Amino acid sequence: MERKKKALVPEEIPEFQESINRMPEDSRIFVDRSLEIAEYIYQLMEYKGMKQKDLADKLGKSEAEVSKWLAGMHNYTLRSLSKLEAALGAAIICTPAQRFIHVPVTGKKISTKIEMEKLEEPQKAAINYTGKLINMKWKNELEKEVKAI
Amino acid sequence: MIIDIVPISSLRFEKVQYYSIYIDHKPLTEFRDFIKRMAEKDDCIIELGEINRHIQRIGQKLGAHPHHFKSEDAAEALPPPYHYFESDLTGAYGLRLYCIRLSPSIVILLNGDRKTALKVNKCPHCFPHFDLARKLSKKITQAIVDRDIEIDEENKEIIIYDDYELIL
Repeated sequence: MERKKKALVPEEIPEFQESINRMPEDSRIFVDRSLEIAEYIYQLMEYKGMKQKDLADKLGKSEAEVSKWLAGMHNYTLRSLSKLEAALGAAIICTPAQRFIHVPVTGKKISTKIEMEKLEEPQKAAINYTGKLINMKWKNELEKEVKAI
Repeated sequence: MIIDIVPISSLRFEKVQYYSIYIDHKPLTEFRDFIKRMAEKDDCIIELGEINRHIQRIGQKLGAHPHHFKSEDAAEALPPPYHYFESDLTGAYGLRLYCIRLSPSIVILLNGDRKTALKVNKCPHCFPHFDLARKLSKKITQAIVDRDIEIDEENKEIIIYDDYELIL
């Protein structure tokens, strides 16, 4: 005999969105940015074929220390980001000083240059940088080095 | 203790459907009770917002992966490991929300409180919520093994059969 499924009656929790709306702007940005950075580090690790332990070894840190950098809601310091950029061989944060992002593609002389100064907010450049790489299915197509010039 | 699992309609995102539970037909789900209680405390408002925003962004963009949660016995907790709220510097240990991550697209949000001791076993505020989370997680895992509960990953759905009662 076929078993019947229970009907689960959905619940609304309006207080959820209210609690987010009440947040100070900087707290919301903090959560969003830390998750974006963590996710980007994960993608770079995957692209480089690195495990958490490999990254920890390269940084001379414990795996526990590295896992906190990858979880989201972490308060990165410029020092820790610099160490990560050095270990991963790729830029994680971009500033207007880095006017172009050069993405070399294996076998094809294609380079993607994004003129950062055309973007309204310099901070968005970092997101676009990440987004562009993802959109290009960079894992399969790009050379091992992703250089921010 | 009779447990009723319910989907939260306002927390159905592209990557994750969040659920909560009613205990013994109480009027509020555990997660709603958590939000309402913490929202009344001035020193918890920012942390509550940060946890909820984390939940929202995981749901919208990333999916619920193990590294986004702190593993706590058979259950999980938020915020993720080694995150310290500013309040932690004052001797407290920040807000904790206990949950059960069933898959990258299905998470049951439970209850929590401000942690006031390093070890959860020593925290009178968090321990009851932690204890419920780990017991419920084990119970649900057993029910999945026994096929009384099924996980429909594609539709982000928890399927519970009519002849099964989730009782702790």
